[in-house]
Order: sequence, then C-alpha cells, then structure tokens
Amino acid sequence: MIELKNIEKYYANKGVKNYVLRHVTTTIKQGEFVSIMGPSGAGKSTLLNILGMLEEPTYGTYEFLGEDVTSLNERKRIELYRNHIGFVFQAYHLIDEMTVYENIEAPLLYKKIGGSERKSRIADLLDRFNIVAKKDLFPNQLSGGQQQLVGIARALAAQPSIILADEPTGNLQSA
Amino acid sequence: MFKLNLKIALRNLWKNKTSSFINVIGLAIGLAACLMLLLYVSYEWNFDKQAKNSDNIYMVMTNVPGEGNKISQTFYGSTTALGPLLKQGLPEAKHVVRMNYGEKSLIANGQNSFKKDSKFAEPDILKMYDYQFVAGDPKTALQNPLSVILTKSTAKTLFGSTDVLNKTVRYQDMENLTITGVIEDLPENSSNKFDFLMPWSFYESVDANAKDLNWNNYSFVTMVVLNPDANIDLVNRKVEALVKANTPQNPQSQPHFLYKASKLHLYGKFENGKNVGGDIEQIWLFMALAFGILLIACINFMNMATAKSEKRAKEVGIKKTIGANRASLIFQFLTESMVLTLVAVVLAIALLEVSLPAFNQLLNMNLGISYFNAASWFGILGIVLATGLIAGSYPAFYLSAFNPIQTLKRKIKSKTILSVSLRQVLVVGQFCFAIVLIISTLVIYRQIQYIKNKPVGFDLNALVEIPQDGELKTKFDLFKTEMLKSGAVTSMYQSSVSLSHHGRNFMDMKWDGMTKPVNTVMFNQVATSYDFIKTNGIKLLEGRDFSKKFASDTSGVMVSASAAKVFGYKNPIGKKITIFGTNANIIGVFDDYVWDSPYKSNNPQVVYLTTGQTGTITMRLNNANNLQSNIETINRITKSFNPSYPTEITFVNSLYQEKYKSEKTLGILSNLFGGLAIFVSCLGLFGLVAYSAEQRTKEFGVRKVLGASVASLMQLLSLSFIKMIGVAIVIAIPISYYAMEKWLNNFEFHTEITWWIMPLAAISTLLMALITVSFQAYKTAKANPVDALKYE
Repeated sequence: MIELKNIEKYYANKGVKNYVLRHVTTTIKQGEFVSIMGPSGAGKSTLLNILGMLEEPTYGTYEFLGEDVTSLNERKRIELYRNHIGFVFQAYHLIDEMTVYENIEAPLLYKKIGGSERKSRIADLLDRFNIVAKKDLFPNQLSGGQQQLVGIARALAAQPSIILADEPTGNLQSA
Repeated sequence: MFKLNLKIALRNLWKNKTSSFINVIGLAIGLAACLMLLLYVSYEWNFDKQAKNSDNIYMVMTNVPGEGNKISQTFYGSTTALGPLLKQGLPEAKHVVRMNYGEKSLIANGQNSFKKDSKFAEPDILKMYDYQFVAGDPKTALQNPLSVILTKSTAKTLFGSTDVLNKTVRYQDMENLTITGVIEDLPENSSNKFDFLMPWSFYESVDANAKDLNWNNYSFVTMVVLNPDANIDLVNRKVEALVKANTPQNPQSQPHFLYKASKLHLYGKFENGKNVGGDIEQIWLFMALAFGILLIACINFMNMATAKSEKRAKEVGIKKTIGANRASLIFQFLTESMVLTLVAVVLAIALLEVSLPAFNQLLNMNLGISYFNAASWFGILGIVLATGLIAGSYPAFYLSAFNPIQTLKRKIKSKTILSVSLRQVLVVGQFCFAIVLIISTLVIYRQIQYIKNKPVGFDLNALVEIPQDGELKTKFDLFKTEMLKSGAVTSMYQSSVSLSHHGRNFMDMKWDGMTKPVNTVMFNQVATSYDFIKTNGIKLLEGRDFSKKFASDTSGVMVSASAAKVFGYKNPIGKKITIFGTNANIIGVFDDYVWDSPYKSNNPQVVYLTTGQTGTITMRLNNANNLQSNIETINRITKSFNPSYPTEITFVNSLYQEKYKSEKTLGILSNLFGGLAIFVSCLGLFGLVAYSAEQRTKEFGVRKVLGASVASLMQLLSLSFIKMIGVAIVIAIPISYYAMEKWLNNFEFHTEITWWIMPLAAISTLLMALITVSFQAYKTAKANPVDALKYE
C-alpha cells in the first residue's frame, strides 16, 4: 500500500544541508499497524508528513496505492485526503468554531456523503467514543483527552484506508 | 456545506466582537455614504431622461461669435423664426416645438390665487414628452388658444381635487383659460418643469415678440425630436446650411446646432462652441468619494482579516488535511464577508433613512430610496455583492493559499512587496485618501470664504426686491410715492432685471473710435428708472445717477468701468455710444459690481433709463424701523395695488447666497465625507492596533517583568502605525496640492493654497491617529503582566 524508496529530506541552512531523513526505504501493507519510534529530532514527524503528503521529500520516490505521489498536484492530493488518509495530530487541531458534531461531520461533507449516511456514521462514532453528550460542545469546552477522542473520531469518520497519527497521546495525561 | 459555512461565519462574527463591530460599523458607514451619494448621482444622471424617446430629443443651441473668429458663448436660446424653418426644411425632424423659458405667473381659481411655474409651448410638446394624463386628451389639449394643462398638484392646490376638466382658471388676472388636461406632476429632475402649460397660440397674444417671426430675438427655446435613425452630424450640417440660406449673414450672425437635451444638464459647459464637460465633473467627483469611502471600509475588513490570518491559518490547514479544496475555502471566506456586508447594509439603510432628511436639507433636494422599485433593490444588491467580493476576495485568496503543514506548524509569513506588507500599503492608502479629503475641504472652504468676502460692489444688507407684476407695471410711480411716504423704504427703482441676473447680453453696440467694423464684445444691459445708484449703492466713479432734473437723461446711459475701458474713452462723461442703433450719451461711470457669477469678471454693462421695460422693483429698507414692520408695510401697500397677487419679497442677500450654491454643496459633501473617511480609517487603525496588542500580550508581559516602562511599551506598539501615517502624509500632500491647484484654476478669482493648510491637515490627521493608537497602547502597556503571562 505504501512504498518508500530511498527517501531523503534535508533543510538547507546557510549552504549547509541538515539531513533529517536519509535513505528511508520501507513497505507498509494494508492492515499493518506500524509504529515509528526514535528520540526527539530523529525525523519521525517529517517522515509522517511525507507519508501524509504534507511535505515533499528532497529525493526518493513514494508510491501510495501503487501510484507515484512524490509530487502531486493539489487537486489529486485533496482527493487522497478525502478518500484514503485520516490524520490524528498531537495538538488535536480541531476547528474551534465548530461543535464536536460538526468537527466529525466536516470530512464527510467534503467527501459529499449524503445526509442520512452522514448522520448514521456520526451517531455511530459518537456512540463508540462515548461522547454523545458532548456533541454540541465546542473544543474549548472539552478536556485534552476528550478533544483527542474527537480528533480520532474525525479521522475515522471518512473511513480512510490509512490513519496517520503523530504522537496522538503526547498531549494527554497518563492515566 | 453552505449551511455550515454560514453558521461558522455567524459564530466568528459573534466571537470576535471588536473586529466584527469595527467591520460592520465601518462597512455600514461606507455603504450608507455610498448609497447616499449614489442616490444623488442617479438623480443627476437621470436628469431629463424620463421621456421614452429622450434619446431623440434635441435642444437648439446658439453659438455667439466673439473675437478672432472664436465662439464666445453657447446658450440654448433661439429665435421664433427658426422653428417653422426647421419644420419645413429638415426632413429628419419628427416634431419641432417652440416654447418660452418658463416663468412664475399668477394662476387663480376665484379668490384662490397662486404664483406658479408656467410655460408656453406648441402642441407637439405633448408628442415629444409622454406626460401621464390623469384627465383630458393629449391630442386636443393644446389646440384651443385659451386652454391650459395643470399638473395634479396644481389642480389640487387650486381646486382641492383633480376632477377639474373644463373648469376655468384665470391667468395673470387677465384671461380665463379652460382646463383641458391634468397630468401627473413632473419629476424633480427635469429641466422643462412647470405647474401649468399653455399653448403657444395664446403666448402670441401675451407677448408680441412671440408672434413676430424674427431672427434677432433669442428669448425663446426650440426643441426638436429627430427620427431615431437620424445622424446628428449630418442634421447639424443641414441646420447650418438651412439657416445660412434663409437669413442675411454678417459677422454677428449666430449659428445654431442641435444638442441632445438630456445631456445639457450634465454636459452643459461649452468653450468655443464645443462641449467641455460641465456638472458631470462633479458627478465623477462624488462617485469617487462614494466608492473611496466604501473602499476604505473594505480595506478595514481586509486588514482585519489578514491580521487575524494566524488564527485562521490553523483552520485552513486542518480543513485541507480533511479534504477541503481551495475553492471551498475561498467560498467559505467569501460567505463570511457577504454575511458581514449583509448585516452592514441593513444598518446602512437604517443610517440612510435617519440621515437623509438632514442631507436633503443641506443640499436642498428631495432624495429618497424607492423601496417598491425593483431597480433600487438590484442596485443595493449589486453594491452588497461588489462590496462583499472586494472586501472578501483578498483575504479569501490569501488565507486559502496557506500550506497546511506551515499553518499547523505556525509558520506563516505575510506577503510582502519590497519588504512592505500589503496591509501597510493599504493603511497608507486609506490615510492618503483621508488627508487629501481634509486638504480639499480646507481649500474649498477658503475659496468660498474668499469669494464671499470679495466685495460685490454694493451694500447687500437691507436691500429687497419684488417682482413687478400686475398693476405695479403701470402704476409704478404711484407705488413709489406711497412706499416712500410710508417710511418703510428710503429709496427704490424699477428695472428690467434683478441685481443678480444672468441674461440680457447683447453685442449691437457702437462707439466713437471703434477699430473693428462690428463689435464682438458681449455687453450686458439693464433698463431702469430713477434712483438706480441711490438705492443699490453701487459706487459711482464719475458723473451722476439718472435725475429728473435733467430731461435729457432719457437718452443718457451709465456705463460700468469695464465698459468705459472697452470704449477706450479717457473722459467718458458726455461721450456718445450707439445701442441697438439708438444714440446715447454717457452721464455716469459706475464701478463694476457682481451680477453674474462671482467667480469670474462679468461682462461690461450699460444701464439706461426707460419706463417701458419692467421686471423687478428693488428697494432699500429704512433702517430706522424694524425689519418686521418694514416688510409688513411693503406687503400691505403691494397687496393694495395687486390684491390678486401674492407678495414675494426677496432679500438680495439671499440671491447672492444662491451664487455660491454649487461650491457650497461641494464644500458640504467633501466636509461630510472627509470626516467619515477619517472616522472609518481611524476605526480600522484601532482594530489593527487592538489586534496587534492582543497578539503581543505575552511579549509585553515579559518585557514589563524585565523592567520596560509604560512609555517604552506604548512607543513599541504605536511607532509602526504612526510611521505609516507619516508615509501617507508625505504621499498625500503633493497629490492634494496638485489637485487643488488645478481646481482653483477653474476660477478666474481664486484664493491661493496657503502654506499652513498642509501642516494643519498633517498634524490633525497624525493627532487623530495618535489618539486612536495610544488609547489601545496605553491599555495594553498598563495591563498587569501577571494576567498576560497567565493568559498563555
């Protein structure tokens, strides 16, 4: 499903190349659960960003679902976001102006999913995450953990092929 | 999706109350100003365009030849003989209508008498204009000489109803006329306005000049309706040839041409026989003002939106990662600006309704929004859409272009042009506009003051005039005796025209030692009775006023100083001149006084003595009595001579005020809208400073903890804004100097732009900006650092 070949990424700073990633080659198959681990500054987030097409690698090729997506135009990329990729961020990144319900609904709207289907999917997610009572609250009325639940629910709503989660529990207090 | 966008837009409005307030108020003021000026502009623009075939209605214009083969003047008067000639010899003419200029005349139903605007015209006027007949038949309404058409309101004033067909009214207390038609009132913005209309055939018995088909009395108006396919250039060549072939030609002959009647109001200024604009320039100016203020409000919106971009950027980033494309984001931001504009326009209409009466009073007009007219709603909707798009498009394109990863990492760089952000450019532009307006207002004000303070040449105070109607024409001497006996006035005279008049120009003048065979200098004439100088107090330079002691004064003439200069007489008293072929001796030379436009030197003038030409009675009130009793006495005596006429006493002072009207309007508008522009700009500045302060709360807290003083913090926050105002001043001063210098050069008599106007405008703008900025800066700098640091 995901095939990385010789991915490299560096940031040029005053003529000096600061490599963040070097020679990353990997294959991830459908259904696999992969964790990337490493110390701070190892390039975990950069790799994830490249996987999520938020950043482009300096060198190397990246195939997603058998298609070369190393440099993709915006329209095609958004198409992939709508149908195949769900993000969960460390800082939750919910939209402050939307309620819990609307935050979960947003990707479905962009995917142009019909009203009744939308309703049933959101109801199911709210139920599964046990946040039915919170559906009309705004993000700033929720605790960090609850916000992250909403973030995950939003990532799942569009039923993507892959979920990219960058330290999803980093901001949460350990139980 | 739209519903969600709308919901978010409303939530955003509610959440950011300060910026929403600034945006809504700014836009509402901008829209109200824009709508108000557009009402005015559409009123002026639609002048004389009400008739269905207004595009084919033409006015006969006359060129007056001047010195050196040039045309000295162009006006819309023509002779009585021209109309019939055009009717006969111009196949392109569908209708040719002769009419008079229109004047106030007495119309009465029994004792119920009023002075109303009257007009005489040939019956084809009813084919030219599609008047809405409430009663009567347009085909026959003007066939009988003793017939009259009333407007609805005139009928109501006279009879209390519009059901007045075949009733009679009395004209000028001399002839009974049968009402053959009642029409809807004519719109305010039409030049050919009247309260009652009478046939030309009747005019021929009222004024002998109208019956006489001649080629030298230009006191009439001729209008032509051309066939829609007529080529106006071709028609004008034909008219010229036709007139040349049918009249004797000499250097004083005045060629005619046809000019679109609906253009005359706005494009009525002619130089050397060619149109050089006219009031349209003012219309463009007002349009620029209207859209300028709206643009300032839009800039406020853009600035606030882009200033908040950091906040919004996160939203953009998230939405992009969950599948939003750029178009949907642009659409969302535009929805927000549209919602805001819609809220603002509701407020703007309310503002407009509240301020229109005052505005109407200021400009002496009667403007209003016609809510039942689809066109006005389309207009409003159009402005709302345009405003929403202009205000929203830049933020929409700017924000939606953010790259998700940068926004989520909070790394946003604002767009820069040569290391200056667009926001700064916009603020500078806003204040430039405002400063230009302030300087213009000051210069216009000074020009009006300059002209007002320029002596008119006689004492305006306690001078009144009344129209010489009815019995006052024939019994003037008796009237004068009674008036003087009553003690209400100290002196008075009758004259063909008021002291403040425009017309009565002529060229048929000869004098001794003339270098040219025919005179080409335009003179002005006033026919008067005794006590002309004594009453009005015009300065006599040489000689004397007309006097009963000298029987020869009937062939005497007084000339203005400029006339004496044209004649080239060193000692003008006793010298001979010939006016319309009649010899006259100069008995006095008076100083030039202002009778026409106060902005340019008026034509040389001759004043001669005659009892035949009546028009206006001018009286100097007796200062020993109080004004009220003087007026009452004049009223009483006039009424005893003319019981059926209402008495109309006009202060000559107010007639001269009228002369400043158009510049005064300009002054009022630039003052009003200049003030609004400054206010809206400051509102925007306040918003930006408030936002910048909010963003830097933490930084300020830290700085304070480190020992920064309030003053240094205020300086930190204010300096960048004040710098922008400084740049705006530097740009605005040369622009406004150039523009105002050009404007002043339109006037022969004009003030200079004094040095202190520029610093005054600059300092006052700076001061206002400083007050705006420092209010917020002080609040931020004084805040307790603990709050600021806790806030994070």
